[in-house]
Order: sequence, then structure tokens, then C-alpha cells
Amino acid sequence: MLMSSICLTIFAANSAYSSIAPFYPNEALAKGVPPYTFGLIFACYSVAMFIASPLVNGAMNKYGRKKVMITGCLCEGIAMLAMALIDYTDSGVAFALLSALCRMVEGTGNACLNASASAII
Amino acid sequence: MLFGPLIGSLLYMAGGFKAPFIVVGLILIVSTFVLSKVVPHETKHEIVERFNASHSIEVQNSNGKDSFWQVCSIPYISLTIIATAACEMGLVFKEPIMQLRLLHDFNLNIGIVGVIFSIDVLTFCGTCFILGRIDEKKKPFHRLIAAGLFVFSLAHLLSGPSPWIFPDSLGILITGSLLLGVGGSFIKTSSIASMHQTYTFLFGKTTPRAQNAIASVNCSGQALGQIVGPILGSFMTDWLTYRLAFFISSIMFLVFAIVFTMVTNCEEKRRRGGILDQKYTKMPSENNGVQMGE
Repeated sequence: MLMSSICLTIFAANSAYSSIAPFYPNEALAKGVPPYTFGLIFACYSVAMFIASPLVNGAMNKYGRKKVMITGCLCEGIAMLAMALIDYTDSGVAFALLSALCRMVEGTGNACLNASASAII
Repeated sequence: MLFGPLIGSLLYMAGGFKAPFIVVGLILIVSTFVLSKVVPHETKHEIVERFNASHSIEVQNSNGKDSFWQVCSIPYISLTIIATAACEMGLVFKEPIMQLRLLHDFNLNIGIVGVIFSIDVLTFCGTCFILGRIDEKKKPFHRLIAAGLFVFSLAHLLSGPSPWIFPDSLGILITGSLLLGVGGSFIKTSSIASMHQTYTFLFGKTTPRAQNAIASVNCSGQALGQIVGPILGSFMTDWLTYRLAFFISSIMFLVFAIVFTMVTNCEEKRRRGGILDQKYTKMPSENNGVQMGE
């Protein structure tokens, strides 16, 4: 039960990273976002994850793996829901900036979730 | 991560831009509540160790090499982190560029694009299952990582497909995607185990703090690859062409695979020497607590 719950959560969380790949570039292009920024927007997720990883290690030692895991999962879930709302923006710049911001929050959440899950397993 | 494009494209076709985010977001929020019930509380030992760590009290079992940066500074572990980063880079290199290529050059619809994006998933899942069995029995982690890097090199050569070597064919591109999954599973199933193996070899055992550090280090390695991959992919395609970008990345993987193989061979010889040294310098009773990597 524990393993399957963690695996399913990791499955959903990691698919959040790449699920936008098949449709996001076209949508962003339609909103007026320049193509060369796609890579940067995609990478925001990982930049946040990379920066957060050493901090997550400290947080796990201080607050425990379970709390870090739950916080990360909630953080990533809320950021995903927030990303659905950026469709309402008409400006290309706002679309790109809000996408980048949501991706950063998702990445931070994923760092918490992935590191704590690996440590628990 | 590899299933994401398939899920994304299916949900996008079903409900537009918002659907993938709402569905995955809701799944994660529900998972939060499930995890809070299912994940066990820490053991007494872990709570004591965490208390000591947060109050800067030296832990009796700590070997003083279990912080994030200290684990990173162990040479073989840092090489494994680079391999993990390279693996992630190889997997996500195509993310921002392949969609436009498949839509415009091969005139495919978005559903087929999602399926092609997820071809590597099939081989990844299948190979992971087989490798799990091999890893359990023989623990050849560093050899699997080296093999994975060589497979990645070939996969990128085919994913272009590489100019001068292969014709511009969708079939070859799909074969490349299949091999990406194989290479990815070789590295991903072995990297964290390889780091634990090295740590155990060097210090005799792992503490919960060391496990946390290794998990975080592995996570940062993955993130590093995920940062470099899409940026490198989109910029190289912008400056060169899609096919040439994959050709160059293939050469990069080949060079790294050769370097990794050479370094791990030296490390293996050193470890064998270490085991022999300990055999001849320690009494059998002293060796009981030491778990060798191999």
C-alpha cells in the first residue's frame, strides 16, 4: 500500500514535468510567446528543482521525510492547478512569465517529493 | 516523466489546455491526503538523529561525511551524478523540439505526436523490470551505467536521424526513441544504488542522514540534466538543424561513455585492492560489520 501510493504519486508528479511537451509550444506560439523561450520555460521546473535539492536535504534532516514529502506534493498540485488558469491571459509576456513561475513552484515541490520518496523507499 | 507527453496529449485532446493541469493537479492533491495517512511516522532512532542534527549535536553513528556537499565531494559519487544528469539530459533533449518536427516535417497529428513521445516509455518500463532482477543478483551498477551511456549515444544518432549516416525517416527516429528508453532504464535503475554501494564501501554502512543526502544528490543530478537538456536542444536546433543537434549530442554521449568506462574500471581495480587489503589486515571478526560493495 505504501509503495504503490508513493509510486503513483511519483508517477503523477513526474508526468507533470513532461505532460506539457506535446501541446504547450503550439499554445504559447498562438499567445505570441517567442519560440526561443520555450526551452527556458521548460527548464524553470528543473532550475527550481536543482536549487531546492540541497535545501530539501536539510529540511528532511530537520522536519522529517514525511512532512517534506507531503508539503512537496501539495505544492506541486496547487501549482499545476494554477497553471490551468494562465490560459485566461491574453498577453504573451504574462503567459510566459506566469508559466515560468508555476513551473518553478512545481519544480520545488517535485524536489521535495522525489528526494523524500527515494529516502523513504 | 516519460509517460507525461502521452497523458498530456490525451487530456489536451479531451479537454483543451486546462485539462492536463486540472487532472494532474487534482491527482496530486488527493495523493497528499493519501500519503499523509499511508506514510509511516519516523522511527525513534530517526527522530533522535534528526533532533541531534537540528541542534548541531554530533551523532554517534555519523561518519562525518553525510551532508549534501560532503556526499557530492566523493569522486565516484560525483561521477555518478554527472551520469544521472547526462541520462536526464538525453531523455528530455527532444522535449521542446520534437513536437514541431513531427507536426511540420512528418505532418502527424497531436495524438500521434504524444504516442511517439511515449515510445521510450514502453522500452523503459520493460527494461527496468528485467534490470531490477539483474541488479538484485549481481549488482553490476557501474557497468549498467556505462552501457546506458553507450546506448544513449546510439539512440541520439538514430533519433535525428543523423545526417550523412541515416536517411530522414520516421522509422529510424522511432527506433532511436525505443533505444532512449533502454538507455534511460540502464542508468536510472543503477545510479542511486551505485551511490549507496560506493558510500557503504567507503564508510561501512549508511545512516538515515546519508540516505537523505544521497536521495537529494540524485534529485539534483536529475534536475541538472533536465535544465541542460531542453535548453541545449532548443538552442542547438535554432543554430544548427534538428538532425545535426542530435548528431552532436550523440558524440557527446559517446565521449562521456568512454570516460566513464575508463574511470569506473580504475575504481573497480581500486576496490578489489581495498577488499584484499582488508582481508589481509583484519581479523575475520572485525570484518563482520563491513559490507563490501561487491
